[in-house]
Amino acid sequence: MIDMKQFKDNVSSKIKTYHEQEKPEVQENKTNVRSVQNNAMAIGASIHIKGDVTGDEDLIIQGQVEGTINLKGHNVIISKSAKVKANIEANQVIVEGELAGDMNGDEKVIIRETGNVYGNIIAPRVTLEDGAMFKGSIEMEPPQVKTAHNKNTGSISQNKENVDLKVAR
Amino acid sequence: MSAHYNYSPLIKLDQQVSQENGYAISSPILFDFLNSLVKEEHHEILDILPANQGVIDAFSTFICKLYLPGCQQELCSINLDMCDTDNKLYRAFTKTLGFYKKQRALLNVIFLWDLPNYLDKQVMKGLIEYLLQHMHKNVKLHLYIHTKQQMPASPGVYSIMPEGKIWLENSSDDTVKSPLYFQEALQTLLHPFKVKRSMLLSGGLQEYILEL
Repeated sequence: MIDMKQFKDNVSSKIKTYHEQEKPEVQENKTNVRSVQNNAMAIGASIHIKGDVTGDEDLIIQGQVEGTINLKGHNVIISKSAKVKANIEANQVIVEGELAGDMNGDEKVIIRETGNVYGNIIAPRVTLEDGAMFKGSIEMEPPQVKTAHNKNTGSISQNKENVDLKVAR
Repeated sequence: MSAHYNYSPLIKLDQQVSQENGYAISSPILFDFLNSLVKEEHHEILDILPANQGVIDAFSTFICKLYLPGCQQELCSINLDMCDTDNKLYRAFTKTLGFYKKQRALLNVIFLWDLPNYLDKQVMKGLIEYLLQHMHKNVKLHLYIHTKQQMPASPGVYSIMPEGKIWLENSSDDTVKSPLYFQEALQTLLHPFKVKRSMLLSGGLQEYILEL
């Protein structure tokens, strides 16, 4: 298992701090969506990691990662140049590059127009930009519905369709 | 509790909003159906088109699981010569739809769009037979059938829009002969599904919703 802080110390020469001018546009017009800050960690384009990645800060991936990425409560950005084969758990996941693996986003998953994803997504909100490639499944459970669902478990009415039964032809 | 899609029926059902890369048409049956879905229930949806934001938005207020295999082209290219046995055909569907990775889907909504017009009859029947293993008993099948002699040479790309419309992307001007499925032939093709409701839309598309 790779701890991101230890990783930073050991290969600091190959890891650069994420600079303002390189920052992808992840700021949404929502006050509750965290933007990736200047101090996010970056895995450079020449880095290839095999193993489990964990940590306590945001992460930008520009290189290759195979394994798992667990950054609960933080954001993960898979940049255009990145190739990732991993299951990801994070607060918000933004994909601009290639990903083969499942994503569990506590807040949101965004697949940009350059993104190419093969896997399954579990997140309350999912955005798929025009041109983005996605094959897999998406599980969504809006928070307000989830709450109502939990309250009403056992008393949910059957699906009653009130559409008419006429056949036009 | 039902979903609300701000669906306001248009005065003219054949009203089209055209733009360069496509056009919007009203799809009343689809939106009546979406409005009738119960929010608190879990829904499993299969959309065979390449994934797009339209279907995600349409179901974003539901507790749901969307299967988006983006397999329309793969289904059209299934070669019956290569899949000359039921077993081979079954494997082709499994590979195309990706359900082998899933524990067990329990679909209650299936969007086929205009795919049935383009699939070989045996492949279409095989697909329904295959999907029956992954369906909820209350499953609804939604599709469009071309009613003109000629139809676009390849299946359309559709996207669900708000206000009771769908967006249909312009394809090439090439056309092929339409199979012209009428209701009885369609029910034979999609056995054991029965037509629940149908409506002729603009552009010669007949909208259908079917159930078991």
